[in-house]
Amino acid sequence: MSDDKDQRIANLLRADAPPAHDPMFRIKVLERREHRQFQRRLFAMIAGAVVIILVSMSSISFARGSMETAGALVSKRHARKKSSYLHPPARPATTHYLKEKQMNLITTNKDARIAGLVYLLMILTSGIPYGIWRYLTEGDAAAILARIQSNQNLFSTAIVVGAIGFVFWLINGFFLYRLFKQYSEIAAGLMLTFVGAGATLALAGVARQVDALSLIRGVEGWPALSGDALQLQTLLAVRGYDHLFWVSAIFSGLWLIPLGWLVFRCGFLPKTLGVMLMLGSVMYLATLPGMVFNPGYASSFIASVIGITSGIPSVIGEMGTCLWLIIRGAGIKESRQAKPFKRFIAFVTDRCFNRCNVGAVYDRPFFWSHRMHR
Amino acid sequence: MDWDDESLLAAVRDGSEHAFNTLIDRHQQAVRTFLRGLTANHSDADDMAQETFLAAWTQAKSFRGQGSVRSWLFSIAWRKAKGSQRGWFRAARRDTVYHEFSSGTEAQRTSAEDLLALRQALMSLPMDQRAAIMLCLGSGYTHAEAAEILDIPLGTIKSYVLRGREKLRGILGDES
Repeated sequence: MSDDKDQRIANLLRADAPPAHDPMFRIKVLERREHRQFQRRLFAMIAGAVVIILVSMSSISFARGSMETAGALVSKRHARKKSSYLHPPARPATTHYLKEKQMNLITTNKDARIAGLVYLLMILTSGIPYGIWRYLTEGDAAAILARIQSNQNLFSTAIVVGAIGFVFWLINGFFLYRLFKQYSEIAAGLMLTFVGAGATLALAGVARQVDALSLIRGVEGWPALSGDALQLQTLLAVRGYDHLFWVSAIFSGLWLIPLGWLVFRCGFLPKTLGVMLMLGSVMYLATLPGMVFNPGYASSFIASVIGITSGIPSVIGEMGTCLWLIIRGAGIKESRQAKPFKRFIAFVTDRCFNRCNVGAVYDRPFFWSHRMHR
Repeated sequence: MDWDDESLLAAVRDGSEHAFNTLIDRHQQAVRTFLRGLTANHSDADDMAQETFLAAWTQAKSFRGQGSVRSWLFSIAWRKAKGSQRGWFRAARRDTVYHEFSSGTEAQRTSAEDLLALRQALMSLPMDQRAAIMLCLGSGYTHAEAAEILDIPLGTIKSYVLRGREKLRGILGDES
């Protein structure tokens, strides 16, 4: 009797048992493992990025400090020179020197147009592959695998063009740094640092895209996967890329803040575009926390609100800035850039009669460098 | 290739995905059943079971070969369950549980009522005692093995099982 009851108890205790074969449970364990690894990497990357930013900022301020110290230690001769530079005694050409100083701050149309063109190329080569990627990786593991298998060429093209886009982002960062550094070296340096970190992370994510492609195509030396295993591994590779992309989105947002500030400050671009760029950063910055804390963030109400209040300004700000740079350049009137002969005459006049000639300052001959002139 | 558990764990230690998948498939049912007996609902139990296998992946090197791999997994699961023990785990969820088991035929419903009564009785016991009963009565472990898994003295396990068995028998006796 007691044995019967014991058996009944044992049976009842085992009645709650899950199925002996439960692949979904295994997939959940593996997903959780990937998520943990992602969190660890994210933490390490954020810590690394913070260190890079701190080092960059301290280097910039150290360099500025050194330059100021060096400036204070110049010889009397140099000091006199400096004094005469600031208060030219003999020359009635104060405006000459002021104009000369201003001239250093003037950006050429060519620089601005190159920066705008690279910016446009960056937007196109990043945006289009991103759209293709989103289309191919929607849905569950089976749907993703099926879609990629039937669009392998599109998938490969998206990977390559996307990688080119991230390289353009780096190049764009450099050109924008060159364009804007005279307005705020710290802001321009920060912008370049964020671009460097973001583009590096995004390019690292491309490796996961290639993993997914290799799994589907089958690479020599790799185990030939099929069925559940192939779906799972492809899903992990795809999500691995998405996770790295979210991390790089932090920098996609952060770089817009100094860029917006520089656009606002430079004077040759509309201030509205600068404000739009800074507003646009919110959307990118909200992506990672949103996705980590709420897996359904993309379709949530808060995401829609952020998308409208920040996504639209971001598009307007970025497209507006690059198109403005391409079309208007740095806003310098072409008529002020005199012909070489005219510039030569103006130069000779200035030298011979030792008097200010605004045209000569602006349009000095190509072989007359700023240092020589001074 | 049908590997034994020790070889599987050695392969997991070397980072083999295939071995890890096999290890999960082989032991998930036992670990989840054990945890379902300890917690009030299935999703919490499955959550802890997932954490258990994650810990097995990261701590595979800590397996010293004393006892079976399944016992080692149970001891990890037990630590997870103790760590996650919160007030809401102990809260009675009679309605939910009854709903889970109350669908089906008349015979199944009688069995569901038994199961509900058994679960209520289990949940009224302290967690250590519950774990001892799940291991010794539910999973067929000896008292000594259960003592090792739960890291509780052998005498305590024996008394837990004895008292728990009496209580459960009493409930089933009343029911019948």
